[in-house]
Amino acid sequence: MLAASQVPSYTLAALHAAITMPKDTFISLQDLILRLQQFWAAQGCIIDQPYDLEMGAATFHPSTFLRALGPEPWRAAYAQPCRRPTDGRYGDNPNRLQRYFQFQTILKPSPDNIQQLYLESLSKLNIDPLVHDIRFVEDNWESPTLGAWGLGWEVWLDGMEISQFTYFQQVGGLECKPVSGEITYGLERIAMYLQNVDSVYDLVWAQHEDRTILYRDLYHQNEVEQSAYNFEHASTEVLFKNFDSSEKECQHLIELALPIAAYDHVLKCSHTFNLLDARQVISVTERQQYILRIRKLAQAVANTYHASREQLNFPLLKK
Amino acid sequence: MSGKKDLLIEVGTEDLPARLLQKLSNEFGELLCAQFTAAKLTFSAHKTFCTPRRLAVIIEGLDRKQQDQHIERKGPNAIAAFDKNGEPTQAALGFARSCGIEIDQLVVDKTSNNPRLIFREVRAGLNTVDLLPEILETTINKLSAPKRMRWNETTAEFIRPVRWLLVIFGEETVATTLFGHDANNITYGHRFHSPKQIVVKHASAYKELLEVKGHVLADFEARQKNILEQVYKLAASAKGKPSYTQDLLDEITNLVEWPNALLGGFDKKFLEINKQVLINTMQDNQKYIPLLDDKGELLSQFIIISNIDSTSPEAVKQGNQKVITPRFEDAMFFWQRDKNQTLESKLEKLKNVVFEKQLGSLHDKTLRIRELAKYLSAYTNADSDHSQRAATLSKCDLLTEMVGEFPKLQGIVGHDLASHDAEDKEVGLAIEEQYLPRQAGGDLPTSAAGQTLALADRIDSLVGIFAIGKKPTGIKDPYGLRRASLALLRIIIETRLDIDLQATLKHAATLFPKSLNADSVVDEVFDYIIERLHAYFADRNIAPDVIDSVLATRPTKPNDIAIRIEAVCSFRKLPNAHSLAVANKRIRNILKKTDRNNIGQVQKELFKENAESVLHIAIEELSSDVESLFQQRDYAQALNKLADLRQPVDTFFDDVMVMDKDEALKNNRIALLAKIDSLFMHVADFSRLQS
Repeated sequence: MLAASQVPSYTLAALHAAITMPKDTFISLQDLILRLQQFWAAQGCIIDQPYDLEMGAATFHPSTFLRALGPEPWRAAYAQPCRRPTDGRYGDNPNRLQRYFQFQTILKPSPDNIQQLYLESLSKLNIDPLVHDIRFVEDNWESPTLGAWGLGWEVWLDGMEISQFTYFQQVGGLECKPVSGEITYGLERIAMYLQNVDSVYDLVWAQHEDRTILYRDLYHQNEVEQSAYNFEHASTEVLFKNFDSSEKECQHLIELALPIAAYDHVLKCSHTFNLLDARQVISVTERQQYILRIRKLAQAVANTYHASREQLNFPLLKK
Repeated sequence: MSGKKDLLIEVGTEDLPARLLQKLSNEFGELLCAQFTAAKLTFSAHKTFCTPRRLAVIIEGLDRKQQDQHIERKGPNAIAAFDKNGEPTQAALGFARSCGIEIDQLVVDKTSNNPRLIFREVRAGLNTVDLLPEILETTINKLSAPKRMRWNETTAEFIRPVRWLLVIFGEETVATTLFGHDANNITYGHRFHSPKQIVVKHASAYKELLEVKGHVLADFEARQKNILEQVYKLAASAKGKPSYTQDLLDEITNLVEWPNALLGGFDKKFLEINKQVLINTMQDNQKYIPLLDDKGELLSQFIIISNIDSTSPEAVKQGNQKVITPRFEDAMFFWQRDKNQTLESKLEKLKNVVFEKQLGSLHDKTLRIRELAKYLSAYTNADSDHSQRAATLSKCDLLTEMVGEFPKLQGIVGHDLASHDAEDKEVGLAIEEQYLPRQAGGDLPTSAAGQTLALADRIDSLVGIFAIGKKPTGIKDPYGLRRASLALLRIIIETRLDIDLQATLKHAATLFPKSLNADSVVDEVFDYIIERLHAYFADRNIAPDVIDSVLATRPTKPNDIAIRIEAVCSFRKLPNAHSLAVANKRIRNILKKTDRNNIGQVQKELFKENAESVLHIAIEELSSDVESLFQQRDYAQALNKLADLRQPVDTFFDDVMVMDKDEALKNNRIALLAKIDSLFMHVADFSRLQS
């Protein structure tokens, strides 16, 4: 299922064929997720599920962070809620959210036709590249907390960034061999575009017969409450303590060579740090120190995980 | 058949970074040419092409093969080569062996009167096609890219993944490989307009084929010209003037293969936000070209350069407008929030922002800048209260949400808020102007308080960073001190400020904690800044020896240096200048051998030759005039007068022997020459001028 498919030419026959589907079908946000899942499943991706811990980006999901390590091939796709406490706006801003959704695809090794596949996935969303201006604009990605970086692009659709496209070069301080290709779709952005609405809260999440559920119905209250928590009520005393104890727990689990369990605590540290940041209690110099502490943990987890897979003879290599 | 053909190389890639593309493309062409030259292959011209998805070069009239090489090696002397029996000696045999041939294939060079064994060989030149694979690979590896990447299971690295390779020489495809791609004669057009293969039969057809069949303008200049034509046409239709820098235009040009300009617009209500915020958002984030009216006011329209000849341009336009609106909404939101607090209210919070660990917070820096601004105001003719007030508020806008979101707007937001807070006009302007010039050659501060603040901020950084031992080394200059030095020199010189740099640095040093011992780096900082003058004046076509001659007198006021340099330049054009420079050199050589402390007063009674008294009278006559001209810094006029010394100086050197045996006569003559020297040294060390 994982062999890199060789696409010989740059013909877009498949893409153009797809565009001829009826265009009037309305795409709700959940349709969007379903269509992307269907498309990527057909490319040999397993459809993974959102991870059950808070994280700042879908890259933090073990299906990306851990699976990008080592030689084992991997293809996965999943939707992931992402939390960015400082971006909270109490539900008042039509574009900013303290929690939003990414759709993540990870292809390892990155196939030669990865850009092509991505464009085909857009065609499944009725985005016609002969109507719209689709461009790949340089964007070099770096996650200081994960000790990871890669080169790639942000993808522009008529000037709007709708996806991040990255060839991982290093993750958890380890060289990526082989390189993983990561594609991250900003689901709300794309949906707002497809549904032609100006506020994220006006997005149709689902539609069934005469019943329509909007983003507002599902998440507006969540934004109001969580913003209040993030900015006003989160106990910084508890958060500082939590950070320290998660760090300790992580180190302990690394010593026990339990990297997957340890990684959960990297995620906890990272989210706790983000909350402290939202409470504006971390000074500029301290900030750097916290980032370094998380990175140190992430790198230790990466090393331990790699070693553990090696001990198992990299089982996915055989499949 | 001709021995020369055209070569076309095209490396097809995934989308290359727009801001690097042109440099890469030029370098690709230059490196290839250098490789061919090194391989002794000649060609008549080269032309580069680049788009986001390709780097290409055409080498015209390239040799099909290298010239044959005539190799000649000299062996042992003919006499030593054969014994009496005519048999070859060990020496001869050894030489033949070293040449890899039999002894009878060597010849004896009879043209020389010392005949030797000679090995001659014609080494056939290699075919260009056989040399190409290595040349191409070397070129690709030599291309300088800040960051390279891997993209598959190999260790191969390039700027972005390479997806095809086209190499044709004449009409033949060259057998070579790059990143696993065998070369072919196939290129690809625009990703969406022309996804099919395009066969290129000859280099000369490349550009047109891509344009006609491929929807790709491969030539950077042609593409830029096309963009500009479209931009100006649309701008005219909106009665606007496009606002862009060359850098932005280059970047836009390298973001597209098939440019199509569209006119977009935004709600006029956003025009109440600082126009620089709107312009920056459009230019930096979206790569749009904003439009200005004939008064320079921003219009609510902008130009988008898309990469598609859309079947629905309206959809592309609508889409782009939808992107800009929330960005402007954000800016509006930040502006309204920032307005709710005064600039001054941020001052205390600067204590929490580190400027540099050892140099303290931005609040500490603010206090130092204020003291320095107070000191400098006397020299800049600024209102001291205004300068100090501006200094106090200078860093406050760094804590606004607007600057947090748009860092380039530092200063501009401060100015806006100062106006909103009803601070004095000059205070607001100074806050904005402290960052001028924003780039090399950029506008300078126009207000006295702005100049004061711009100098104080930079001088504080220079002294502080040197004091903690983090001065720039080589190309490493993390604090931008080189740029800061040039900026402050420009401000002093071009606004003609009478500032003693050394004294100012000394004062700045006193404002740091004693423990940093900042005073000890003052001379080093001074030299570092003054060193920048070489680059500054060289840019203005001043000869290096003129700069040297003035700097040799170690003046401490940059503006004074500039006036002297100007004076020396015009002095040089005088008919007497050359011979006076020679005389100065001669004088200097004599003085070098003398202990300066022993030079006494000139005594008329010791004159023996007429030339001595003539020269002395000439000097006496000039001295008072010239001294007062020096006082007024009218160096040019002073030198003009000094030029009259040429005749008496020349006669002096013709008629007088300085190094007389009589010690008293000799010393008197040296004293006379020292007078001349010190007169000239008021301006420059003329002995350093080259003839």
